[in-house]
Amino acid sequence: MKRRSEKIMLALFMGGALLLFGWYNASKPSILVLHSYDPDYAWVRDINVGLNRVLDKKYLYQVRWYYMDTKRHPSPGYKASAGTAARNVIATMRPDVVIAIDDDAQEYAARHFAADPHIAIVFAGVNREAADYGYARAPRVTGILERIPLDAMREALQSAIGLGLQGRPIRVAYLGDRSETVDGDAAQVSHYDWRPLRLGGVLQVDTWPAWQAAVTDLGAANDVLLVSGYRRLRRSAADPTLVPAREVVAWTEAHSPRPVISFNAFYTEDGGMLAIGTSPYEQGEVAAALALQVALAHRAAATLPVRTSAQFIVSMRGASMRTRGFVLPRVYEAAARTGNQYLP
Amino acid sequence: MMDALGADAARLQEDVLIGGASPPSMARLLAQASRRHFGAGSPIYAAGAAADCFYLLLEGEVELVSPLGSRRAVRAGRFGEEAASAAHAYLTGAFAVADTTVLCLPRAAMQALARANPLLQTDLLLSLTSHLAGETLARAPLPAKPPAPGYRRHAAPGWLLVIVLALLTLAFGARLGIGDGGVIFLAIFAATVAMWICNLVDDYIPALFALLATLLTGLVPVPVVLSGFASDGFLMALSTLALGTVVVSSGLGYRVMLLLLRRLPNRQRWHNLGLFATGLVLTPIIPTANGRIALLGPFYADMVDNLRMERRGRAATRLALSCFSGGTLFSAIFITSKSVNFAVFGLLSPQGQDHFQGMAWLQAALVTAAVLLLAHVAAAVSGCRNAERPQLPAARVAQQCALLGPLTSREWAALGGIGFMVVGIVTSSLHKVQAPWLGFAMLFGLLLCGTLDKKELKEQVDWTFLLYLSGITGIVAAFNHLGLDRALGAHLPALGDSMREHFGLFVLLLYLLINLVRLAAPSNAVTVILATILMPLAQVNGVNEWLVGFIILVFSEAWWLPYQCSYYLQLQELNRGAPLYDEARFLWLNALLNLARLLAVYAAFPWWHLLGIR
Repeated sequence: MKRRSEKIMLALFMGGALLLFGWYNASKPSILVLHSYDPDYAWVRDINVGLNRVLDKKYLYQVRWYYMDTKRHPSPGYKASAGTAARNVIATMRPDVVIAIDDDAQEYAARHFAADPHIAIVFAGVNREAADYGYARAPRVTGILERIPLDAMREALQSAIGLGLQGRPIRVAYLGDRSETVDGDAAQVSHYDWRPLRLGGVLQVDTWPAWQAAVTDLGAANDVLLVSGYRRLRRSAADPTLVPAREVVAWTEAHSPRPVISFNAFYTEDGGMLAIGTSPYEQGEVAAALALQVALAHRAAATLPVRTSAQFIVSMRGASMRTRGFVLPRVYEAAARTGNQYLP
Repeated sequence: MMDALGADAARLQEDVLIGGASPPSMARLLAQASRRHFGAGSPIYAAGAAADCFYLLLEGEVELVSPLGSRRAVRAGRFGEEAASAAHAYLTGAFAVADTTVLCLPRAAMQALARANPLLQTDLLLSLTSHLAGETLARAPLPAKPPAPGYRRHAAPGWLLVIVLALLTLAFGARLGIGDGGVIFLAIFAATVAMWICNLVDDYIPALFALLATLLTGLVPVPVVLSGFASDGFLMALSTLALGTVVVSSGLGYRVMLLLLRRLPNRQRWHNLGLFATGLVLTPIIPTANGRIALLGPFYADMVDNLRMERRGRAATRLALSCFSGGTLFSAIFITSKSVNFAVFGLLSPQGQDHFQGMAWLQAALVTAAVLLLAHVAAAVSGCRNAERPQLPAARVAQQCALLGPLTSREWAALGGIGFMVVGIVTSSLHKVQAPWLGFAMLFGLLLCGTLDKKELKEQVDWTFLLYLSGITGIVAAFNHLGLDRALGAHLPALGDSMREHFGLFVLLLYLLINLVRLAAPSNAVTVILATILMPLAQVNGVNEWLVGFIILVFSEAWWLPYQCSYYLQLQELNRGAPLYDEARFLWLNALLNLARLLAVYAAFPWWHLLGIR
């Protein structure tokens, strides 16, 4: 039997603890990580690695994750529906900061809250311009733009042993699918000053037969074929089924007459030879750091300048490099090994 | 309608026996109650008819008729009590003497009521007996509950201490130079420790509080704080608790004790050896000291009586010491002999758990065990010299063994489980299966064969301990995840230095500290708190963490005054009324054994050095 004094103290302890924990949780800022794609996608996985490196003190803020999964379901109907669901999540959760990653998350969800006075938006993985989503003068928006590492790619090609010995500029061509992300990549490639290399063509296709034809044609006319997105290729004009990424890469590596290099590091995971890609870790780390500046340090998002990706990573499949006879200075292999991106 | 229902409810409450049931039982019962009317002279039920209803008289008059025709008026307005018992038929007939209205309560409802209110069945049996005897027979009132134990009186200040300690840690914790997360966790830990030390609630509740608070604040990832529920120690503890349940409930433990006494020579030293050896055999099998003393204690009392030992004499005191030491002296020696050992095991690093999960724990503890054994022998021999020549009635022991009959299938299963574990652990280098998985396999076998049924698994296995174990494992995991182990090492450099450079001195200080804290705090709490703090510190300072945990276990078992030791209180209970042994002498000898614990640890230093444990 508890005494009255014990009951009072027990009630005080329980009530105090509940109030304390309730207050603590209620006063924590909340962050919503809104991904355009799914968690199994290598790009997303590595961005999450970067995010978690910075968001490692979960007791200071609440973090919730939401995946729109538009990479595997690219139809306009699905995207519109996923966007509505994502907007509902934001409207219900009312997070202090939304970290919106990749273009679909901006297009279908985040941009609708750009003028919301209580929600800050930190974007990442954006291939297009921030202004395309109405972020240019938004007071509560900042982020990091994803720009493919064209300088790094040009340097690598120039340093490739045996590639520029024909007495003419190295010719490169770019091939990608017709996704919004690749639109941005293609625009960057087109507008880049490739000198002393020469850009032999930029092509976007949406079907598997068209891809196969382009690989053969562009490969025949150029020294190197550059690729980025290839997950949105329909089996045929009549069959909307998407061709698995590994099948695309296996065929491309087997049939391209020239070396194929990607701007996405996960290309080697899909079976490719070499990639010099934007660092997903940097995208995650910078986005998370900006979000914490807003959420914890109470900095106005507009005072935090929009960044542009500065880091790149090298991923390499050694066997394919040897088979193709494509040789880069040793430092590239060392970089891939250091970043745990080297496959024997 | 409402009036009738109100009257029915009032009648239920008015009945002295039924009205004493719990309010939820009464509410359920009312839903099953119905009224019945009987004209004057009409039968209500016949003797031998199915006992399907219990009746409460609302109006009229009823008489009971025995099978031989004798009549009795119903007493206290109730009859048909057989419906609440295991009897399926009425013992008497019942008929209405005048126009009668009764409240009929179906058998199923009465059985449920009896299950929910255990004393009611006895009361209704006495009510039925009263009808037949013609006079009211009633159960004597239960003795008043004993006053709350000592710690209870300090509950209110204890809760105050919990609150104040947590708030002080929150307010000043940052001065320790640890991060916000560490400070919040230390506040939770301080509140948990205060709850343990002040003994405010059962041991497992503070551990659950720590888990809950850590989860609510999100201080560490969920898999870290809940890692205890998926640990090796959890499975080992569950398996051992289950095996212990089967050993006790099958009667195997009692049979072993009888067999030992029957086979050993019928002389005082062998009686002591028999009782001591029984406790020793039970030590690794029954994972609670309280459980072992509960089994050995009554047998000790029987032996004192049957051997006609002098009450409070030295022989009886020596036997008490043998009984108590047999069941408790080696609690730290076997990993499976006490639940808190699993807690210490759970605090070991994965490498440590791999190493000490099999026979390695016992091997490392052998010298300590040997010294404790010698100390016990010395205390029992020199402290209880006597000239008594007690003889155990061999015929009675033989008859008891005969009554037990051959080994039952459950005893065989318990033996099989023990054999499986022993053989499995000894041969682990061949089959490469770790001890926790062997234990799990044994548990699965016991369940599959029905040796351990669902009811026993639910009610006999100490699930609260498993919650406690998982809780403290999670606390330590969170402690390490937040880097508090390293911070502790940095803030307690003197303690770390002492542990590393002057281990002998450290052991002495630890002994003094534990005995000081044990004056106020229970053994398990002291073990867990000190192990939580000192084992990570040991790891940081390059001292074997098992060694520190083991020494804490050995020292925490020491007790000087009866209130410090719950399982001694069980033995002491036997000594109330007509005392069996000389308690003062027993306590002195126990004090010597407490000192022997320190000696046993020092004596094991060379052995540990030889094993590379340092």
